[in-house]
Amino acid sequence: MISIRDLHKSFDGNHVLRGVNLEVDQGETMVVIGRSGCGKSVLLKHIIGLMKPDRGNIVVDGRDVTRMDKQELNELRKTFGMVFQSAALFDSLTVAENVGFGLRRFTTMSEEEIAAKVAEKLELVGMSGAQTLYPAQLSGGMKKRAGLARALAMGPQIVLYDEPTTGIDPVLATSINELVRDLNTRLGVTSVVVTHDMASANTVGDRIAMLHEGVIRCVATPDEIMTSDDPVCRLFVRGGAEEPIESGGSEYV
Amino acid sequence: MTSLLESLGSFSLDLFQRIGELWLLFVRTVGYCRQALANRRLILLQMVEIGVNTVPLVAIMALFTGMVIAVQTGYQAVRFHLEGMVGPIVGLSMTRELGPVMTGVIVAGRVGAAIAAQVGTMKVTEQIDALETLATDPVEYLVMPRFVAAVIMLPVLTVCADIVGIAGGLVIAVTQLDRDPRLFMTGTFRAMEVSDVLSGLVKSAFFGMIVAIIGCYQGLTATGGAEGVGKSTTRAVVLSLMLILVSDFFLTVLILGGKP
Repeated sequence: MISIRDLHKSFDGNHVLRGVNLEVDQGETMVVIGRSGCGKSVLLKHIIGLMKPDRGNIVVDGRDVTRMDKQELNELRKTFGMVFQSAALFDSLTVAENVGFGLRRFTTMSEEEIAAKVAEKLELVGMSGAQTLYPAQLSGGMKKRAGLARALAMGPQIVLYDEPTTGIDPVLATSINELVRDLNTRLGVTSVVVTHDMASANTVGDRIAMLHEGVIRCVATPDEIMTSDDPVCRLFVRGGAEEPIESGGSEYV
Repeated sequence: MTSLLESLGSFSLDLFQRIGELWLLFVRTVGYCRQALANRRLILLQMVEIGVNTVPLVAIMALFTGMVIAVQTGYQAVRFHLEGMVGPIVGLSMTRELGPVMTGVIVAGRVGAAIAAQVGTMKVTEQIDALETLATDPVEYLVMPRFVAAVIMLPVLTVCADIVGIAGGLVIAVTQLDRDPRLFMTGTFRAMEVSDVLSGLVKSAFFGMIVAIIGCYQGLTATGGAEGVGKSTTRAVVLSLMLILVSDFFLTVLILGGKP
């Protein structure tokens, strides 16, 4: 479904991705873990074509994202949903307008149908009745859920989550984890989740990949990674502090 | 010496890169103008923001500009018994030069800054990225509506400025120079030609392009947080003002057919 091959990316001489290789199967939830600033979000932005790599390819459904022109990329993006770390809701639009953004632009649905779809997606994320609110009136957790509803509105085949549970309370984090899991099992949505929350990674992930020093250090199921022989993986997943993880943690998130 | 050359080379490269990016943004924006009808709601919203909400500022500016031209010319005209020239001078100054330029300056300050701040904030809070993930080109959704709205509304604002400016001149002519209002208006309109008004409107449409493209470009290239947005906003205003004044000279020469 998604095949990342030898992906390299540098920012002002800082070599953030140094040959990432990763395969994500159809219907799978792949969790990418790693320290803050290790390039997880950069990897996610490459998958959806927001960034161009210095070298390497990303193949989605047999098509190379890195070689697509603007129009092809936009067609592909209609099959994607992305949940941003900061929610990235359009602050001049209401929650309903945010969630219905894609539906209004790319479908022939009537306003009533769009309103019904928006209500359905908001209910899914536990935000019924928030249609008329503006992003400035929402709490951090509500923004994140509204962002999730927007990502799901068009019925995407692939959903990319950038730190979906960061900055929200444990109860809400659990419900978002269940939602991600549910989308995967019920609708067969392929997901790539970037997080450093191990509880979330273990709950939602079919497999977990650890990004460390610009490469994928290990890929394993949640159970396997907990008993990994790799010292870096073991240290990260257990949150231990016996030895420091040497990494060029940078501002590139 | 090497360091100086390096700095000069780096500055030149940066400058040419920015000019190239600006030109590309302009070309892409003009290309998206074909989608104007489909985005008419966004364009109308921008027309209200850029045009309607700027009318009070432009009116105040034009009123006092017209009045000050009348005071200045009236002061000289009285000495040479040429009071009848006050109307034509106010009318021609407003329609050919001061109306479009002062409107451009006001819009660059008010609207150019707002555009750069809005788009810049969207850039640094990942809203531009979110737009792209929703298969929407920011140039179509954000830049083109502002561009079209500015190109339409700047001439409209300039017409307002021309009318209010001449009215300001009339107030001074009647109250300070004891001119008959009807004579003032007749003299003013007799001296003016349609081409005088049109040349001002062409200039103002051009200034509208400058304000919208520079504001959007600065917003789209904003980096960092609030500080980056602040710098982009300042750059948008300064660059727009400079380009308005510089292009005004060349446009004037062009419109006059190269003759002073």
